[in-house]
Amino acid sequence: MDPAEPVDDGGRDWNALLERILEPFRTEAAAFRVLLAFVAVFGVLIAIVLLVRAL
Amino acid sequence: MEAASIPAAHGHDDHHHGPPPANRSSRVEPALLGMMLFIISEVMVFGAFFTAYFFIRVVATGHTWFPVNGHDLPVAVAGVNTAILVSSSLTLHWAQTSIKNGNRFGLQAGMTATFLLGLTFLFIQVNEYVHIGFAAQDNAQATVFFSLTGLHGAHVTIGLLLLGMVTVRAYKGHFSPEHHQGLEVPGIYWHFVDVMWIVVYTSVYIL
Repeated sequence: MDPAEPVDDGGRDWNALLERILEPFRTEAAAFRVLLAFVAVFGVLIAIVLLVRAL
Repeated sequence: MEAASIPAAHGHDDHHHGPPPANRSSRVEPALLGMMLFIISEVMVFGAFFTAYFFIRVVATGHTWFPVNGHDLPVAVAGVNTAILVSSSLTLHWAQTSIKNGNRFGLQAGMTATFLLGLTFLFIQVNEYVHIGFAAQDNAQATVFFSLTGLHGAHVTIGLLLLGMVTVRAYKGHFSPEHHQGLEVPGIYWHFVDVMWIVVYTSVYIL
């Protein structure tokens, strides 16, 4: 048996779970999309704070 | 029997030299998994510094955030610096997209621009430190300010070293549309450094 093969013991597939969690961070393009999401969310947050302070 | 079958399955191979390849229990690429785990540990390091920051802002009594003793933070300058750092992520992504499409010029121009933008960010931050008018030992707020921004600055410095190596390799023709992991992995790190700055900027300068 190939030691790299996952053992199907009927339990949770931890490799699949790990792959799903890491999916948004696994490539440069995916990490860039995470950055754009941060820019959008924090941009709105900063705009709201500045707007409330200006009023 | 499993043990008996191993020597047969891995019989002597005239073409293979050195130790057998390491066993991989995860299906995620080892270099990527290493970077992921490193970034997770980095989030915890930043979390520790943010804990000190929020302790002063929320828990500790008798502390106000800047302006402190007549000294305020240069919000506008840091805002421009934020735009510069976010721009460096755009150029990095352009470089990455270019090499995937076999565009060597795009890769080289993108990496050079990314490196220079990162260097500009660091230069402006050092300039900000020089002219800010207070020192880390003056009060708790100043300590947290220099700690958080300094920790991030250290990450930018490391990132610039990595980007510098990638830029040199880009000019030496080390990357191709099929093989560019040497750009992919430092790229993830650089985007992480950018994301952390957005959080640091919002917390320290805006809130």
